Amino acid sequence: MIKLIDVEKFYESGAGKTWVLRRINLEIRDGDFITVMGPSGAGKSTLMGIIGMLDGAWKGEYHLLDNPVHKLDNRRRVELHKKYIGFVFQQYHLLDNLTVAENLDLPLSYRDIKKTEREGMVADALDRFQIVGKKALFPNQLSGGQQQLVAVARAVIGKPKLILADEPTGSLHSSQGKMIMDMLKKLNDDGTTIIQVTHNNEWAAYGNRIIQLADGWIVDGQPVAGGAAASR
Amino acid sequence: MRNKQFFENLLQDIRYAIRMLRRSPGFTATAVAALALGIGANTAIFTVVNTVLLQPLAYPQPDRLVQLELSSPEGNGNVTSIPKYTIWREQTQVLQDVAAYDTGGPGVNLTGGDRPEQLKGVHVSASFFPLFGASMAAGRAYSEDEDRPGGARLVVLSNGLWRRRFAADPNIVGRNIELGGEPYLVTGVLAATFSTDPPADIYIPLQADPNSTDQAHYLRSAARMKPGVTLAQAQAAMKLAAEQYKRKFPGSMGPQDSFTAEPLRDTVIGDVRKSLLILLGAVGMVLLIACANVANLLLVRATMRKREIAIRAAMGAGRGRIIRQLLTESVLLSLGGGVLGLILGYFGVRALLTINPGNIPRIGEQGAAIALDWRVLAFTLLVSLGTGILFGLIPAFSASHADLSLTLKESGSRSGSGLSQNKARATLIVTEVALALVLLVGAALLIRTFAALRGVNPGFSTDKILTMEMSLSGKRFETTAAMNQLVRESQRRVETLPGVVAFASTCCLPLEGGFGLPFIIEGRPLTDGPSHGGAGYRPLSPRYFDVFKIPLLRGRMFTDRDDGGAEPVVLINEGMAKKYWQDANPVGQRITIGKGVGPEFEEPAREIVGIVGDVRNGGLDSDPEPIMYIPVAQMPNGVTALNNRIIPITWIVRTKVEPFSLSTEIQEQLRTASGGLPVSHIRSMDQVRSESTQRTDFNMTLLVIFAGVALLLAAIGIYGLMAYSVQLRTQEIGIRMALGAGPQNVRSMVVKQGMRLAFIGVFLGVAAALVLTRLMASLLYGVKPWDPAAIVSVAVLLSAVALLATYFPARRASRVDPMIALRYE
Repeated sequence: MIKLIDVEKFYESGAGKTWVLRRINLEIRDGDFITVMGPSGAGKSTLMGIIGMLDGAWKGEYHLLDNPVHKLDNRRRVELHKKYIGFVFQQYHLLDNLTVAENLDLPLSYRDIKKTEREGMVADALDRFQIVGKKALFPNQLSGGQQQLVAVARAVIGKPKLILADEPTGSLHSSQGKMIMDMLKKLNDDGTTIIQVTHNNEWAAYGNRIIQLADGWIVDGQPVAGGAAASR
Repeated sequence: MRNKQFFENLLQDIRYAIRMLRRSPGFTATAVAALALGIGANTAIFTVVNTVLLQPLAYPQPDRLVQLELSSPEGNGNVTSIPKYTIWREQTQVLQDVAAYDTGGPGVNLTGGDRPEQLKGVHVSASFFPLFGASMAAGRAYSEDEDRPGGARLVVLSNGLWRRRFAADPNIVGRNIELGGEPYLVTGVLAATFSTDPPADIYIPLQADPNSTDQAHYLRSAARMKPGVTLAQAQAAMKLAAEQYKRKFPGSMGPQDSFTAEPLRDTVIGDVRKSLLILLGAVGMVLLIACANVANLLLVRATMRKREIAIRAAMGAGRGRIIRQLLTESVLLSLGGGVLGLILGYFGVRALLTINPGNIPRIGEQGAAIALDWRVLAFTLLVSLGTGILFGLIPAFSASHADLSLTLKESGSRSGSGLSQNKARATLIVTEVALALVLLVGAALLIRTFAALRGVNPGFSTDKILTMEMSLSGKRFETTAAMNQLVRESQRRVETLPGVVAFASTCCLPLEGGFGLPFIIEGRPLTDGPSHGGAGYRPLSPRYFDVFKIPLLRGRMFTDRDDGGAEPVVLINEGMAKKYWQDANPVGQRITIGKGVGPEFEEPAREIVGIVGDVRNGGLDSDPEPIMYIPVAQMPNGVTALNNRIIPITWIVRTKVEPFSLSTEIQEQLRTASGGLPVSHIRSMDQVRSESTQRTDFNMTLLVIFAGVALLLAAIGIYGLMAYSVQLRTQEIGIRMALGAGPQNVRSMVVKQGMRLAFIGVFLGVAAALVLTRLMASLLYGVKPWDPAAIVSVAVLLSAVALLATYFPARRASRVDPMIALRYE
């Protein structure tokens, strides 16, 4: 599904180049549940940004579902992004002045989907994530776990093939964290490819493969022993 | 003790405010510049308003001075006749020092020296000097005894003339000077502090005959109300005087006509009051827009300083103290804007006068009387303090209301700073747009008026015509024969000059008004009043119609054979023919002009020999009125004498070449023909035409400038708000991009947000404009105050500017780096 060949990123600084990612070569298959780990500053979020096409300034080759992303202009990348990718953030990043239902509708509103169809999709998502009763509430009326649940629902509402979850449980206590991880696992079981960033070994064990980053290099990319069975 | 504490705190606030302002020079400069523009424009216009409308007349106890006027259902008129003045003088129970004086004055030739000069001379009654409290630099004014018919030829000199022509020689008093070839005894010189509006060089006794029955109206009359007499009492006495007059001169006034008295200041100011107040209102709006902009800037700063304010509150600062601190900053800003605005205003008013404001009263020659006085300084100070408090209060209150614990704890876990959080800012922007729209509509209406006036066909050609005046006052040209001789000789001489096409004389130029007289149509019974109507009365020489290219529609033009010995003839315009003869042919019919006006106007009936095209004699914005053209050679002697006494003769020359290129030669020929009389007021007819619309042009220019400034400020306001909003929403934009929003989605989101405000502003502005532009109806010509074209085009223009102002922040928003935005807290 994803193939990164010699992907590199650096910033120019007074002293020369500051490398953020070095010679990243990575292949991710359809249905993978990948965990990216590493110390702070290792380049985890940057890697997520590149895969999610939020970051355009890098070198190397990036193939997404046979599309050569490195050769595409910004408009085509936005199209790919809309079609295949959903994002979950540590800080939830719900929009304050939109209700739960409106937050769910947001990614759909950027696709060419009719309003009635969108309403149906939002209703399905509310139902599926069991948050129908919260649909008219604003984010600040929800707990952290509920907000992240909405954020996950928002990430999957457009039926993406790939979910990028950057520390999705980082701001949650453990029971809420487990709820979110179970949800991601379920999505993965249903066929969605997931890439998550986490510092938590317990959550890392949900994935089938762990990629360790340090100083911008992949230092380890082994499958998890008995992968993807930890939660069961 | 408390006071000391207060001042210490205040000083601390000021010190702190200065430090804060110095730390953000960009913000300070923008705010001060916006305020300086607003305050400067207000100071400039207020300086004119102060001089024209507010300053009391420069005479003793000016509140007691009244103009004596004729009233009728159509309005008041302030031009009067000698018999009316005589009756008014008798109202001694309420009035004193009733004076009469020329409205314009013919100009008087100072002869006898090596260089003759045409002076501005006015005939004034002896009471003129005590009425206006004239003080003398030398000698005395003339007395009532000297101001009688047949009295000695006396003159009072203005201080300016005395210094200019007589080197301030105190011995001039008691000596004769030569005016129009006659000796006049100088009785005194006015003090430098005494001036009249319009200014004059010399004052000559009016010597009005109290037994006169002359109904010619060419004088103004003013008086002082006796101590304790109210305006209402004076008006009641004038009303009674009108009844007395009607008994004395039956049929001379209509049944509803009467006399009245109005404050002299009002008549001096005249119709300029309205346009000045409209301009003051317009600059007031500019200032409000500037204030809204600065308030917006301060709101932004207050948001950015939320944390600082929260910490201050946590340290124990009360709400009052915080508000005071923030108000100190805004008042300091506005005082800075005020000082700069005062300087801008001072130079602005000079610049404004170079635009040539037309005949605005009381501002002196080239606005010399306009000065910054304590009123202007107080006005600017008050406006500065007022604006500082006005635009400082909203941000100060909003900042002092912030939730302390929330502000200190606030994290970036949520996002979105839509309009709900910016209500105050959004309201200010809507207000700015609405005010700018009102000003733009006002300006657009005046531009349409300007265009309409230029599109008007005046009924004559203005191209390649030179005009000049010559005073014929004095004994030499008192008879028609003498004057006609001068006209013929001048024509003969000037028309021999190469490049001259035609030459003529007239009493008055088209577009600049003139006199009117009643007429009676021979053979038609009188049913309503002593005449069949009134029409303009214009003595002129035959080539007048060639000079102005006024077409003959029927009959024949004047020829040189229409002289004193020939059958009396008259030409009338098409408007008069239609009004009084409808479809019948007036050519060949006879009319008697001026019957009952006075003995000098008595003349036999004249035959209408032709009909000429209509001409806008009263100005481009007034429709052509009925007019009668009389050959100068056939004027009654009395009318010639009266005309030459009260107005100069005007020479008009059509040329083949640029008219001013012949000016010197023409003047030379006229001087020779007249035996050395000087000419003055040399203008081309194109100049006359443009002078006739000066006031409109002036109003338009100013309103266009103000509307332009308003548009610029509104655009800056919208841009500022949207740019700030984009900054506040950076994270939100990042999230939206992470959820699939493309640059186009982000751009349209920002543009929609800005344009929604702009459209609300435009909508409210149109509603306000529909109400407010009615106030300027009297300044408009050829366009209605609710002119859809003006309103729609302004709304489109303002929307386009708003779109531009939102587009740049929108473009910036679409370039937000989502990776950075998502980390942004």
